[in-house]
Amino acid sequence: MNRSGFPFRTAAAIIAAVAAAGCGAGTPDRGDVLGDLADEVIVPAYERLAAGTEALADATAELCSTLNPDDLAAARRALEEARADWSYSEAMWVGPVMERRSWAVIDWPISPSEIEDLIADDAVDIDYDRLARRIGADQRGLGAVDYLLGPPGGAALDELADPRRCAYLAGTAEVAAAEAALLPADWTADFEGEGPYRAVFTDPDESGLDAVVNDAVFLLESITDLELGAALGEMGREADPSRIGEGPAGLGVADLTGRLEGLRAVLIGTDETPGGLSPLLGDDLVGRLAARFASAAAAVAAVEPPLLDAVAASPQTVSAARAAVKDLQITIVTEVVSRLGVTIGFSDADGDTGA
Amino acid sequence: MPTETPAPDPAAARTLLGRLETAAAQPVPADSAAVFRIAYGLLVAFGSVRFLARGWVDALYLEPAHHLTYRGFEWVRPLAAPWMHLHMVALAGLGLCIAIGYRHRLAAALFVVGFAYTELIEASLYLNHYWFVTLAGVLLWLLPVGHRWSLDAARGRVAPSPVVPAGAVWALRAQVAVVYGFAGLAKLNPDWLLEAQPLRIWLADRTHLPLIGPLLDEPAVAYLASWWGALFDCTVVGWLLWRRSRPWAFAALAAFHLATAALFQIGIFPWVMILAALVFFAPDWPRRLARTARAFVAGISAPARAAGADSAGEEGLAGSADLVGGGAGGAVVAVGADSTGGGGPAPRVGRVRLGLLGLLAVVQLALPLRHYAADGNVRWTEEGYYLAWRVMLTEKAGHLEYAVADPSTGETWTADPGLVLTDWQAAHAATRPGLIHATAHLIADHYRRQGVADPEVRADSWVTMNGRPARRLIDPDVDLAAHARTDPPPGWILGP
Repeated sequence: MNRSGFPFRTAAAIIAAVAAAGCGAGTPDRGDVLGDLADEVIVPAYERLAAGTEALADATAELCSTLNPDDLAAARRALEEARADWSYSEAMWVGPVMERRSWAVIDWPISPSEIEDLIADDAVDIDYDRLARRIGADQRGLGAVDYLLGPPGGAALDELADPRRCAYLAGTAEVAAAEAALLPADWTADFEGEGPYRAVFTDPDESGLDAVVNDAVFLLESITDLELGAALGEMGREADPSRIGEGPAGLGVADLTGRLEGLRAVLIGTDETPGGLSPLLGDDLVGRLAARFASAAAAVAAVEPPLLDAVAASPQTVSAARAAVKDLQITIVTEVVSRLGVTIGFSDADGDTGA
Repeated sequence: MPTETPAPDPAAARTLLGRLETAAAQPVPADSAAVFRIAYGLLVAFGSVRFLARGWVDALYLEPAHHLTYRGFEWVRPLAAPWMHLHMVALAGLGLCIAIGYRHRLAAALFVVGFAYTELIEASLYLNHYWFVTLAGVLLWLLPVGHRWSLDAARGRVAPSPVVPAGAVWALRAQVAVVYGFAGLAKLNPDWLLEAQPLRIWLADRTHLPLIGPLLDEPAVAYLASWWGALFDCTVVGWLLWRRSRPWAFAALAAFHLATAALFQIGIFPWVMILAALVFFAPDWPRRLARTARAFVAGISAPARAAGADSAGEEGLAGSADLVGGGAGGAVVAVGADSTGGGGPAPRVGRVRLGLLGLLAVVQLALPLRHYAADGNVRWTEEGYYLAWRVMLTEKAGHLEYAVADPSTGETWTADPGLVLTDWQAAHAATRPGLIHATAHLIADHYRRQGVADPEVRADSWVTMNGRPARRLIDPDVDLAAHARTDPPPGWILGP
């Protein structure tokens, strides 16, 4: 202590500590991180989706030409893989997939009665043009394929002997494949005549980061509240299992797994290739997220498919899965959103509270 | 003519208080106070019109089914359309009345009441600069700042006077000083100084800005900005009061606020503070500025300088002898030539108004310090956070749900705040304990209307502050619906 009583040494130590902290390496450039995310996660995901839906289209066409059990099984496997690719990509629903409304072509909750009405209406041709452009979203996509293939052990082969029915099956798979094929090119070649969407996504002025984080938040809210929570009766006073859009193949649990894996890839990468947004998040938060993802994946894996049956027979298991995903949701809604400054906390009007 | 300021009592002048009273009663040019009034009126009128034009009356007041109110003000409700719109029009009109000096005291009083009403409707819209507008409006009601450059003076409704008591200028300066002083004090916390938070988070989200953008995610820049901001807030009033540093301090203040305007969405706040800080210049600065401008335009700067020296002493815009409180002389007596009349006594501030000004001062000192009487970290608990100039101190994000139980049936379920709030209300409620409590009551009311006689409502609330891991904010075992908002349960806010 000096004669004046002012703690110069302490002050100098604090200033030195602050200076040292300030001189640390800066965070990576956000545009670079988004570029890596596009190149290593998003575009490959859409390429897999394009390949998966094309394989499904091929498999359904083959099935319609042979109508044999092996090809039916192959079509079901192809559906399972295409759905997994689609679920994986759900955490990447930014840009072209939203602007094209691709989800309305590839996968949307279906109306079986509308599909049956169309098949039964002999006055209407069932061809690519009709299935691609002249019917509603609830009459096509992977959900329609799932419905027409029917449950394992069902009478799908007998039903698909109806040429109109099989044309519907193969046609809607072809439409989904054609739509999915557009998406990788949108990102890497050209989207709406304005160059590759990757450039827009990585441009800091275009809020690509906000879009991908908001999609993550919405995806988790859909899983925990709108689907599982509502089906279990945990989000209101009445249980509503219809909120889980699971088809005859019983792929609800696989869909959940795919969605979480896609989200993990976006945020922190995979076990094999760490990446995603992790360079912007910091090691501490990446560690917490990895733990949350692992817990959620384990809890979801504990649910015995089909998901709808599990909701009825083993609600506590589904509830535990929901709780684990909810923990992940809380970490993302609070820590990831805050760490990335996705929301500054200002009101819709002006703000200065930072609250 | 204005009522004369009482002659100083020689005996009283011997005491400190007496000397203070004498100095406060000294006449000084009314120009800067008049400009303060005019700028205030125009800004609040503009702010009201802007509020209307952006559709915020509908979006923020009329569309929400419920409002989050302040404790004790649950009875405040928005007017129905179109009355709420007309209310905003009326506020704009009152702002113009203040600016042109038409019954400015009545206009200021009505504006404050009307403006405070709008602020009380929705607590999640709290902004520090709205609080400043309210307090400055009270000052304009209490201070004799309508005798100069006003319609009332021109029409003879009030006696024209080129001077005001020095205390009026002190009060306006003090109002500005309070903002910076307490804002600076609030920045002296470990997050701000040692972690450069929340600026580190916020600046990293501004890398798209031209020129400086690429630098904004550098930690060193965040530290520099944090320390500069704290130093600025803590010392700028001193620099503004010192004649030699005043122009530089004002330039720094303008640059500071323009930078915050460019970086953050803070509406008219920067402009309010830049214009308000002009009151630190010599009380006759508007006339000097006008003279300088005229001389510049006419290309006769030399004669103008001479004329300026004749009427206003030797100082420039920086002012010197005007230092109110620094004794008589200089601008204090520079009230000779004037278009509204000669010099003479300043309009008097009566005892009642003096008492109210004293009360206002006490309130303004007490409110920012009240958090010291509360438990916990004020930035986390927000007990005493508001009306306290705690500006831009926290980056929070929250997740909020409620566990609702019907004790008569044993049923439990989850309720989302969106059940009773809009998205923007819910986003604010998620991080603020008082609003979490208010929302719990709205949800309880919702289920009572659905036939649940005595719903229990518990918060499942998680918040992250300034980059920390998310923590529970509210004790999940406490039934918030069972406690009145004015009597929150003890220990309900958990530690950070």
